[in-house]
Amino acid sequence: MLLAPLALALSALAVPIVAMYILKLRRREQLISSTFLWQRALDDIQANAPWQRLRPSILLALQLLALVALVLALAQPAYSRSHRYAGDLILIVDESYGMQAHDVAPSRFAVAVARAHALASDLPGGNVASVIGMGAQPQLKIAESSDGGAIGRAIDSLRPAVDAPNFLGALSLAASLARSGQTTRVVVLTSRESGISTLPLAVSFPVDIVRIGGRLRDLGITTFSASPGQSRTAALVRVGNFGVQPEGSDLDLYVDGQLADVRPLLIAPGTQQTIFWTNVPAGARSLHAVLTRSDDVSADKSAWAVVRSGTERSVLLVTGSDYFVQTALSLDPSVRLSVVAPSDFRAGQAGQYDLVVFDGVLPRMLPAAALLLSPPRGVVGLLRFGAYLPAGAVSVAPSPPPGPPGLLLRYVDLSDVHVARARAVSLPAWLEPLATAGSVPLLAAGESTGHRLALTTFALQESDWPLRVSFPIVMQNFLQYLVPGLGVGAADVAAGATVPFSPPPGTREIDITLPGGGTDRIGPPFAPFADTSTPGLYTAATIGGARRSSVTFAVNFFPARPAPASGKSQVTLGATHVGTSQSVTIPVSAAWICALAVLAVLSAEWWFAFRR
Amino acid sequence: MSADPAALFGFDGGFLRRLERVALLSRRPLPGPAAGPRRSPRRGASVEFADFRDYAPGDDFRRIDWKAFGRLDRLFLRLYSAEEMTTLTLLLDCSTSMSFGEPAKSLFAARLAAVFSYVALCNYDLVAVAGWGQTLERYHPPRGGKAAITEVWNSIAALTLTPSAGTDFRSLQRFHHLRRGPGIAIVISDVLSDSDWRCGLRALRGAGQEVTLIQVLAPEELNPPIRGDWKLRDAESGREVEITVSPRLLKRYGDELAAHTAAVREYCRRQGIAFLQLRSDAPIQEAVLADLHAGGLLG
Repeated sequence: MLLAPLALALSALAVPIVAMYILKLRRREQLISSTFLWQRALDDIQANAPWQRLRPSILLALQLLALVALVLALAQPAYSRSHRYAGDLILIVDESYGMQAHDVAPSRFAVAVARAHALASDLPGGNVASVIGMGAQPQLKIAESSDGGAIGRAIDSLRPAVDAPNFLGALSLAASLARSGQTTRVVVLTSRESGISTLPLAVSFPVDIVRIGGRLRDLGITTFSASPGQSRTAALVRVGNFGVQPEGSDLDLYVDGQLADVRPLLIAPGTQQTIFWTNVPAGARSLHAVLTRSDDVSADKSAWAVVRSGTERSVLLVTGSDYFVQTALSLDPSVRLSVVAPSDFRAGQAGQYDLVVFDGVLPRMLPAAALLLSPPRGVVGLLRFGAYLPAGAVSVAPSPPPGPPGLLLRYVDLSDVHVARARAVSLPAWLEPLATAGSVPLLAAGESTGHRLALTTFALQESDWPLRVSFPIVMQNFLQYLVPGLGVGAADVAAGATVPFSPPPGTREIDITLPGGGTDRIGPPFAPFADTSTPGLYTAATIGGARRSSVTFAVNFFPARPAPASGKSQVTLGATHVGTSQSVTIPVSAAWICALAVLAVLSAEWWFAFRR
Repeated sequence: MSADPAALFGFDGGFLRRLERVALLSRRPLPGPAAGPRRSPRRGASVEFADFRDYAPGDDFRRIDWKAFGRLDRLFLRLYSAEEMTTLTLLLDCSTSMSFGEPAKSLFAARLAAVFSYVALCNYDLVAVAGWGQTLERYHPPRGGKAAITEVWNSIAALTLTPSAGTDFRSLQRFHHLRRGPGIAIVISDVLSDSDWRCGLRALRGAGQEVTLIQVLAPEELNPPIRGDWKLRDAESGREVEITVSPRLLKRYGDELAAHTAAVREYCRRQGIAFLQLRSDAPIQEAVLADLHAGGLLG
């Protein structure tokens, strides 16, 4: 097939080329003594006639060959090639947890990658392909490329992970890649149990869902939690059978690395079983549950739980006989509380505690972290407490101060709190009033030169605040503010999720020990830790600051396991439809081959002429 | 033809007097038909030393100067002035190709033959002249005595003025039909032929001649002055060659000429034939005589 057959007319150029070999030049004549030596010197002797017999000549053959190749290149020879899809192709390859199953050889993910390679190599000329990795955070591996090698490398860069597929995100990314005016098809290569059966987003192009999977055998842990008690710690594990036949396994429980119990399980397909432990020792810090029998999926056989994640805070309460403060502080299990009477308090004791709470007492000098409650009349540093003033209903400062002090009233409602009277106080600039009664400050907090201070200007006994829900919450917020830890929100983190830290003041870096034994380190401004792709126990520790604190948290992957979407392994969704069994025939130009031939022949001619 | 052959060849009286003081040198004693000044190999003949020259294969090793070999570690042959007359045969190439060049190679060849004949006649040798081209026919038998110089020179001039159509060295194979007995044969030709010049020279050697080959080339043949596109026609065969003369082709021509000359020289060396290449524009009174002396032809 020729795309430009008119170019064949250029083959008439062969006539002048041959003529140049037949037609002789008009030459001057000279009689010489002998042509003997000239004849020896010449390789090519022409005959006398104006037209000479055409002799075999390599140069002539090369020139005619070059002309033939040139004419063919201009005529654009083409061959037909059938493609499964016409137009642009967007490949979405599932990188999630379910693709690691080995129910098809060698694995679902390997099959998906091979399928992606096959589809990319079938891309029609003039069209482009894009590759998207579909994990929890869909990633664009390559966009709108027609380079087969680059597309292949992009496919090879895909890696399976232990997180859930984000089909909506991947499809949104694909929608942004579709070129207007171009036929585009999206092919999603996903696991059989991914549950993708409908489009979560209206798109104008067809979407092929190719499900990869076989007869799955998978017993996996779906839930693991532990709750500490006064004398014992309780633990709960839920195990599900996601295969198609009953499966049995032993479930081992490790407490702080020591095997504590083994439970045999036999679970029917499609059901879950819950296992409880109520006799785990109270001092346990971490638990590890393991299903001992291996099957097609390996990543859901282990889970971890952290019982006590933070470090202890030592708090000294200097009080006469306050019941409310002592009770509120004792609610936090991380607090190791010591109580001392004002007469027994010595200034040197303050350095031994993370926080000193002065209830009805004014110290001569403020420690690094202090909470002043029910202050008497007097002066400490730049603080001066005066006489009582009548108070009343409490109102919160209209605009909470920025930074940590502004968070002290999180989740707090002070509208039902009433204060009889409060002391007049002159606050230095670094202390921010948090709540007032009229113009009288009631609550204030702030930080100066590494010292943190929070205070109330009223006696708790002269208010109804200790009877309100907000009181213990504010006390916990005071604790978090005055003695900050690393501040991990939850002891259990989902794999792939980010973990924010709130390091104490002065922290230079946070060292994070990974489950495999490796370490990671983050520095200011302490962006959330994101390398949580490996399930296991992570330990974060601060470097720098007044006190070293560390926290342990567990990263687990408990995927939701919907039932298989349908019996078909491949469905097509979307606006238009191109039948999967239908092929599209597209002519592919081979002009570049002819152009290369022209170049090769001209090079050979140049070499031949130069050699002569 | 001029009445004064000396004027024809451009010789003046002073040049002729110089020629009277030189003699032809032979590489070995040659028996002659009668007594004369040239040395004879016959018993009882006297010997007069004339010169040395390098030993060449075929020379009589009894004439090697062993004393000189002991001193210089090189083989030299002692040359003698013959005391017996010998016959010098001048074989002039009269082909059309000799008419080319500026000055013409045939004129230079004739003047050269005139020099050799004058020297031989002054030394009481006999001189025969023959012209050859495609055939060897125009043969002038030996003449002796200084009085024969005019007749000999007229014969040479006549040969020069009537060129033959082509060149065929094989025609020299007829030499032994024209003349028998030893002697000196000097062949003057441009040797620009692909005919078998080897068999012609070998035939002269076979006829008992001490052979000398003098190749005469025109300046246009040594350095062709043409450039561009030319159709060259061979003056003898009429064959045409179309060429585009480029520096590369000229270099190739020069290489071919050098190779051809080297092949002739090498053949002559192996056959004991003296070889000399001369330009037709060389001044015969000065340069040629010096070349002939250096080549061991005149002493």
